[in-house]
Amino acid sequence: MAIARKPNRKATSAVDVEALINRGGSPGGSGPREVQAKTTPILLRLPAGMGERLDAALKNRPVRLPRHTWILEAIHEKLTRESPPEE
Amino acid sequence: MIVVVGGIKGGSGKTTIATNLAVIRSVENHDLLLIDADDQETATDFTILRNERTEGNAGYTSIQLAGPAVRAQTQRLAGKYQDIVIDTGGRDTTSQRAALTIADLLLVPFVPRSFDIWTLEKVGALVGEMQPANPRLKAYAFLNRADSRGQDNDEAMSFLRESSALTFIDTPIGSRKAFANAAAQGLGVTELRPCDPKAMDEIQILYRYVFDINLESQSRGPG
Repeated sequence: MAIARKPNRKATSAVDVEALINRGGSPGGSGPREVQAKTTPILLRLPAGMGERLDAALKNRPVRLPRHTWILEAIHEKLTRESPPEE
Repeated sequence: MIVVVGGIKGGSGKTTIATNLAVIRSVENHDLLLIDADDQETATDFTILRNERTEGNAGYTSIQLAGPAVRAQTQRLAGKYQDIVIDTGGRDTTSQRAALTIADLLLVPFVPRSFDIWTLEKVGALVGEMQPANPRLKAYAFLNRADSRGQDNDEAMSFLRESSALTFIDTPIGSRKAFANAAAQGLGVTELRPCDPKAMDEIQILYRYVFDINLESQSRGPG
């Protein structure tokens, strides 16, 4: 057979999948990945009532703080108190 | 089957839907991979808690992926699992786009509120943009965190039905505390005790639509 049909081009070959994907915004984690890698996610389970006490303490502050920041500060204070920096 | 739970609005309950579908599918003895492609990593945190509560027997495998790796890695893993559920974040990201290039179904939950419904057009445009790269992609919209009463559900549904890019499926999920209570224990809402029968029914109906009823053939219609 000397003559063959003209090969069909695949419709999807015209689609630049990579370019399509890259039109999307960067996922939040992909930029500062190194920074994220230095944090450790911890699931915190509070005893009954402690969450309410925490929220009440936050509510009574003259300057509002996110709960996460308050907990971080509390951990930092305890770490500093119980393991003073070496001289 | 590869199911993406996506959209471009935060707070629509994507992770709740993705994790509940994953739990039900795995309880029914299907080998399932849950891919967390949301930088908030909530599906991953849920799975960590679930593994803690079940002594490592979450019932499914969970991994985190981001960006173009969502496409490449999912393609590699597709043959190893019966089903894959991908939870994407609430933005038009490279992760979500990569997922849409290899998905069979996109499920988009919509809260019956104006700000959420206003994203319908952009989600439709995103689907239309991705379909040339993935002609088998089908997109479905449904109400999530629906009101127990009032007109908002009906109005939202009428807007969702207008979309040509997304097919509306009448499987509303109510705004029910049981979902949050279950998640806080690393459970799907179908595993929560005491159970919330309405929440269980609603998620089961959505599940049946996604996995048991062939949405693709339904949307094609007879013939």
